[in-house]
Amino acid sequence: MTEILQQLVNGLAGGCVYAGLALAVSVVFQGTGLLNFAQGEMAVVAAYAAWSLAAAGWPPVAAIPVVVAGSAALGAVLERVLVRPVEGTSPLALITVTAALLLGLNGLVAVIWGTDPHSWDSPFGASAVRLGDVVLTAQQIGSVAVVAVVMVAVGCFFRFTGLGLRMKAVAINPGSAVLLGIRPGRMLAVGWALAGAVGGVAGLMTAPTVGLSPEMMQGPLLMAFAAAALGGFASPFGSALGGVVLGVLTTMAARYVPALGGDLALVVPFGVIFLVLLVKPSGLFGRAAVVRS
Amino acid sequence: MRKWLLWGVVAVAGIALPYILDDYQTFQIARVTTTALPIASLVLLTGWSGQVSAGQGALFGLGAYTCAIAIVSGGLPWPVAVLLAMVVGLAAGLLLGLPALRLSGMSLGLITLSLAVLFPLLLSRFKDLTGGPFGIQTPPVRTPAGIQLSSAQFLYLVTFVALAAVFALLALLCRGRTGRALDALRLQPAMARTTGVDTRRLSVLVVGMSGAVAALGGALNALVLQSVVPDAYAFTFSLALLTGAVIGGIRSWAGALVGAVFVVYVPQLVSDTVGDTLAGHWTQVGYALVLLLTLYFAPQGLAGLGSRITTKIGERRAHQNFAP
Amino acid sequence: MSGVLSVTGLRARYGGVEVVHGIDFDVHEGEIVALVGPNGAGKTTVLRGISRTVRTQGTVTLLGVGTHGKDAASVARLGVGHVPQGRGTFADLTVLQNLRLGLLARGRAHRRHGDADLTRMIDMFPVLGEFLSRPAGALSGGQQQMLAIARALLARPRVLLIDEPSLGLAPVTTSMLFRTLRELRSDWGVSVLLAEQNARLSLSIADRAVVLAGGLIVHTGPSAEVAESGELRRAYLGSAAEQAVTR
Ligand SMILES: Nc1ncnc2c1ncn2[C@@H]1O[C@H](COP(=O)(O)OP(=O)(O)OP(=O)(O)O)[C@@H](O)[C@H]1O
Ligand SMILES: [Mg+2]
Repeated sequence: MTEILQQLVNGLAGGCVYAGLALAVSVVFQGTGLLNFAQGEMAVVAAYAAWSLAAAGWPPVAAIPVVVAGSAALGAVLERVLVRPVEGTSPLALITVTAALLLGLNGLVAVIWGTDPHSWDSPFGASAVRLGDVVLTAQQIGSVAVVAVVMVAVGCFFRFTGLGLRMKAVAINPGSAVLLGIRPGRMLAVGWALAGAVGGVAGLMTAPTVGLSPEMMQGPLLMAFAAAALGGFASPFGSALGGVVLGVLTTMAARYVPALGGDLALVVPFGVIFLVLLVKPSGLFGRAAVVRS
Repeated sequence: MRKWLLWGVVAVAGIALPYILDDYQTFQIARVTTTALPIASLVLLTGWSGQVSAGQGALFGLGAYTCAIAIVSGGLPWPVAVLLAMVVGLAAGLLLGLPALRLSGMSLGLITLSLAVLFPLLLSRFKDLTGGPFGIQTPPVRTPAGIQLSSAQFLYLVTFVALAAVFALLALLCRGRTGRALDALRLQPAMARTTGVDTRRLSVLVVGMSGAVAALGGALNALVLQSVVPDAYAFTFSLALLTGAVIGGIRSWAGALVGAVFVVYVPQLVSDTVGDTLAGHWTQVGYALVLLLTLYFAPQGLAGLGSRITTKIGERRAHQNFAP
Repeated sequence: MSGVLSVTGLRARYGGVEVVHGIDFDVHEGEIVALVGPNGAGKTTVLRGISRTVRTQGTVTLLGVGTHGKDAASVARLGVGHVPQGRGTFADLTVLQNLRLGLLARGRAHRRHGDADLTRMIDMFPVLGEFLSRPAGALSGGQQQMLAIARALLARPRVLLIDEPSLGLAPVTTSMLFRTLRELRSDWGVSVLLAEQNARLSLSIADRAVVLAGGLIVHTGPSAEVAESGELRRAYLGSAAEQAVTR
């Protein structure tokens, strides 16, 4: 019993990070109908940047906000400069651009920071809390709290701010949005910035657990895609929920299905993506109508 | 007319090359012909049916491993192993194609990207079968008795004939009724459905065929290299193939050849320039740059650019490539 | 009278085909101008040219400011409201959110009165008030039309372009809508350019009419004059009797 509870806790904690990245993926998708293959690599850049700042002696309280703001800026710049030229041409061109970003950012990170993996101490310290027989590490508690705060903030942004409302308007009907003085291009850049920041946080929360390497976000990106598939790509809330579900599912599978230990846990998101697209492509919590081309 | 002439010249040149080049150079161009196959499979898939694959390298790798395992562990003669690889590629493609056609061609991109990330992990996991990180060495292909060719020359000609056959088949397929159905599928999936094209079946079949072609390329490539290792089929290789397809011209069979030259020679060029340690990563950066520039300035690819300069036909085609 | 909106030499083409062939007209302060003409005359295209949602040649000035080289969003910010044919509500957003988007679009000068204006608008269209938290997509066609107009008005435009508001509306609803428009233009200082096929209705509320046919203006004048000219009606608008029957 304790064992299952412990696995559940681990799964939930891991799932929160996937939820963060899935939220980022979904924020971009709901705005543009685009799957950003490079979302994970953008998070890797954030993690390495934070690591460099830490190495230069910055305390986490200063480094983290700077890195998150930088990630947002990176997202906006990538959208305005590299994605914009193919906007409105075809979904294939768009997705190919993000594939190029994935390839390029992955290469650049390795070129700049090298390919040797680095370990990174948790900014939350190495302590742990015991609840009965279940152990909660400070890293788990801290990352869950941070991701939860980010999610609530994003939810409030879309729900209560004019900017959030305008972004939704552009996603639903760009033609009408223009007639209300809204510039769709600018909203897309804001969406990428938001996704960059959220993904960056996910990257920062992943690094202490899996270590820093150019490949560190490949697994989480797959998890995030599966989560977004599960929750509906156009539904940020559903995607985030999907992330938590996936965290639990993967941890449980890795522990209790003998063939799926270690790296092979990635079979789970692959299977989820495959099955969801086969059976209910709008996602389990999503609505069919919002999947745009 | 002019086009046929051009292809004739290419065919003659292709057959003549091994007699002019030495064995090492022949080996190199055999790498090009075998790499052109998965790129051609992308031309069919993306350029004609409008679905992106970010995992063609995994299907290529699947063909390579199937062939190597069939020869080394199964003791099968190489032609049978190659056929088997194609069948396995076809089956994998059909399976991957099942959930396709959702999310406007992106779903295949998503599934194949996941496959591309997963495939190398599967390889290292099933060590007993795949040889783990060291892979499998395959015996050299011997020239059949009675033919006066070196083994490299013979193998190259085999790959060349396979490539020519695939090009011819695919070009024929994309010409007639199926071609029009593919156009409908790519340009107006919703409409295609209402006009009686069985879009689901068609798109699954196309993904299956492209799987078979990619696997054929992988199998022949394994024979040429005489080895398979997991590192060769990392997900970045899948994206390299996509890069090659876009650079060459996503709707051009000739472009597939151009793209293959690019994918085979650029990494060497880069590693000659920056040294071995970071060559792979600089290559990635280079691919990304060239890919972006192609998408912005020549969405019809180099082949399209060439044909636009030499003939006017290119102009008509330029709009069809990445425009929806 | 000063021209709020002034159009000179407006030409528009789709692909290689020119469909509006150089037209001139003005809309004055507080005026309702009916743009009438048969199907395909180019009414929608003219409105889209003014809001710059199609590319045009010629000049359009709004309160003396030329719109040349501006994008559609900037023109909207200058004070052009456009209720497109087919309404263009945000189906997945609630009625209130749709209205808030209108409020968000208004200029700084009017920001303070936002809540008061919203209340007024809801008084004017009580159905919207009833359904504030419903998705706009769940409203009936007529209700969506009201929503679209209310949203555009809440942006406090100087000129409101309305395309076929009567399409799919019950006659009572249409006349209610038009009465509301008449009330608003004096209170809110908004001029209206109304593209309508139902000439009888639009002429009855408009001050002036511009008759468009084949991409050219064939007549401009007080709407009463146009309404009474049997020749114009027969040639371009279909007779009033016919329309009375078909409606
Ligand atoms: N998107 C388009 N592409 C090509 N031609 C178009 C397009 N939209 C309109 N046209 C053509 O331009 C001309 C003017 O069309 P427009 O929609 O402005 O007419 P209208 O007066 O609004 O007609 P209606 O009363 O039917 O709404 C028509 O001949 C039409 O066929
Ligand atoms: Mg019209």
